[in-house]
Amino acid sequence: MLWALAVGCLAALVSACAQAPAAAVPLGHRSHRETRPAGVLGGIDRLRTLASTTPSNGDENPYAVLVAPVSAGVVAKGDVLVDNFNASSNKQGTGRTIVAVSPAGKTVLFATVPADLAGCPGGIGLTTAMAMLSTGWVIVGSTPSSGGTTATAGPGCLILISPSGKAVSTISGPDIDGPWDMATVDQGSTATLLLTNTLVGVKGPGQPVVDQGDLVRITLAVPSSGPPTVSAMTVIATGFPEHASASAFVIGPTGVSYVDGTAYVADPLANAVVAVPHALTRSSAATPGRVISRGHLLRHPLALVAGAHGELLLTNGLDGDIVELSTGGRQLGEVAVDPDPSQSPPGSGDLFGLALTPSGRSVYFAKDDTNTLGLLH
Amino acid sequence: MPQKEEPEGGAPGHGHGPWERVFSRRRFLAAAGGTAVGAGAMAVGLRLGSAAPQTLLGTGYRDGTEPFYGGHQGGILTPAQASTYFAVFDLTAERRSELVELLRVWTRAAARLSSGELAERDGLAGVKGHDSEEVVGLGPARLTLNFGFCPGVFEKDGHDRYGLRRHRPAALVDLPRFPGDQLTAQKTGGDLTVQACADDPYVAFHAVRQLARLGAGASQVRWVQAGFNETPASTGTARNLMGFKDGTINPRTQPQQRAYLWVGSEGPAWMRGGTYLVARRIRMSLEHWDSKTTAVQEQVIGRTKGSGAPLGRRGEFDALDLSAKGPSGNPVIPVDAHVRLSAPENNGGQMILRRSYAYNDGAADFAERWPPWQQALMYDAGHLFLAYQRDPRQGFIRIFRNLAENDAINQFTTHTGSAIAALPRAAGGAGGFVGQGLFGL
Repeated sequence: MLWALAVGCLAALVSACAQAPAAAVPLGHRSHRETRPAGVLGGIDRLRTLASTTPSNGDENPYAVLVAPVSAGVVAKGDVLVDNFNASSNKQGTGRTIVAVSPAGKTVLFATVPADLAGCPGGIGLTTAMAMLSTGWVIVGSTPSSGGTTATAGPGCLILISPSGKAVSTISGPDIDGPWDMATVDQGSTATLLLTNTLVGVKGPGQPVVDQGDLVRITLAVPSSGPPTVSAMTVIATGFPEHASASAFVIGPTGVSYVDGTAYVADPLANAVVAVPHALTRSSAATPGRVISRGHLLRHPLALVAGAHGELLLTNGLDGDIVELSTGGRQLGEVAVDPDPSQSPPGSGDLFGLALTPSGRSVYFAKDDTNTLGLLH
Repeated sequence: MPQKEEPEGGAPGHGHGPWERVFSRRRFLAAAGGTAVGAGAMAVGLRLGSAAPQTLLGTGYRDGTEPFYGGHQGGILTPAQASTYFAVFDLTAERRSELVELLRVWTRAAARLSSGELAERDGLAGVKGHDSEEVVGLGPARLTLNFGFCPGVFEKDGHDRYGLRRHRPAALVDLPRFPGDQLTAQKTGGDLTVQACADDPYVAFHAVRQLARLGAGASQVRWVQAGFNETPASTGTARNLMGFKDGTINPRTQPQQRAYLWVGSEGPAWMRGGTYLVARRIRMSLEHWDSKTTAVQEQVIGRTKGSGAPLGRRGEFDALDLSAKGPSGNPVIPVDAHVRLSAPENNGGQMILRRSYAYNDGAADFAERWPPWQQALMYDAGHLFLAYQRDPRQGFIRIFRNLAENDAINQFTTHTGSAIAALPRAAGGAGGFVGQGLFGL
């Protein structure tokens, strides 16, 4: 009955909210070693549902989760930016909004990207690829589809959004094809984006797996005001498996994170995490890199973030768990944060983006099943 | 509870309009003469020729009547009929006097229909016609018709078109947008609600169809929803399409109804003794629901499927034990269970009277709003949720705000239509009309 415990905790908080003082309830950790996990997850065991992530236009399916490093417009430093992949039609690849959730749980709309943005062929469907630079500019990926499946997908783009929430320009081209997740290295006047592409060679559902997903490094010049501009774009890893799915849209290289020169990529089809060394400097593409961890606690890894001490946290796509790894690939443990029995198997498809709080000791995560932002603390 | 009063002045409808031969639909059967009557008799003859339905449902199944004039409007506390036809009309009347005339015509016709008569031939000025007669021979079937005033009566697009803005009750708020709402324009809004309930869907639809005909020129249908119930109703709480008893916790006693159902002295005079309706068309993802075990379903609802008892208790009407813990330390009724979140104990004691119907509109292409976002041909079936309350701000809005974000049932339901309306007391008697007090007449 672990699921009941975990699900219960989540709902308790909000409703509880008013009724039950004991809002947060400890939940169970799962570790095959029968011990509490080490690292970030080892110190936290309570769940809260912070807020709905659905804005007034009904967009849903929260994807990217990013803590704002600076204040910008309606966004205060420390707020959590969350974008939506679906419009209220429920079709994937049609969501156009980014909301900002305060740590206290208040949601405001930060940006609505126009549906017919020039330079972003195929429409708009915002993905897990999101960055916010120290200048307050937000960069977000779009992998659009008019019909909700890859059969009608466009290659997409990156959208540059001003600190006031206005979509100003786009980045597109042959090396942008299904931008799915992104890590950022912000160096002040320059920045580097590490972006996974997951539509390379992908057609409609029913197509066999293709091994063409890739990781692209995008170097930006960042002026003190105005949008950043692209200085260079290089494919640094390729050969990740991708599969079009009638229900899950596409399964391919997803979460990407950067630690000490190495990019780590969540590869759900291989059920693995892959390391791509020399990510900021390499000029050739790895194929796709070195598997540092596979199977065991991993169940279709999706988003991937790094902690302050090099811990890697990822969301499992198939069971609603957050898993922690070392950069050496050792699996440290997992916490069931959303094993919702309404899905089959329980928790399947419920998680996507996650982010560490500024303290590095708690985790924000998107709950696609309820369109809410959760906090594991 | 105020008692219904008997209609005054004899059978309503006598002497109105050019068609003064007021037949009950039963008597009409036996009549002979005149082309229209002959045609009606022939149709009825065919129906009576297959007597099985009458036999199956018991003698006199459609003979019952419910009062129309006096007291509260029908269809609220009336024991649930087998079917409903719920309609929301847009007002096209340009003047207040036209609105008053519409309400007069509808009230008069509703009284006739409720007593088992056919509708008048003529309605508003310029409306000439005749009853469609498909109900000839069917009896009143406990028809009730109630009428509600939506916000658009008082103000439409910023315009006080009937000079009624200042009479808008504070409790008649516009419903907020709730998380998960996927309301469609085709099933949302409108100015006047008309709900027909009857023990025969022919009778319910016929009634609204006649009102729409008679009111043409001042109103037009904006959206409709047919609903059905167990036929005939079983004793006890009806089950919804999820298979669970629905409506167990309702304000059943008069003190509860005074506290939570009927408008009191806090409301404007024309609404005292009335109530507010919140109607929601709730699509159920039945394929998704059917894929879950009964155990999971019971955790979602918080009740035992068979008996309707709260989890951990034995009887349907046993009190919820919201603090009970199971052997593992988890709450027996999960914290996100529907019954827990909607319980009066978790909503400041508030109750709403739910009197809902199932609906079934066939199947259509849908994309689900939860993982894995499946797209397929699925049932368009679910729940025409009809809830009555003294103040929607304290009733539905308060309760559903909590449910919309946290209820485990949200993985299986989507709100696709919505209306809110003020339902005053019934018309006082023949010559009066529903909502008369609003107009100072």
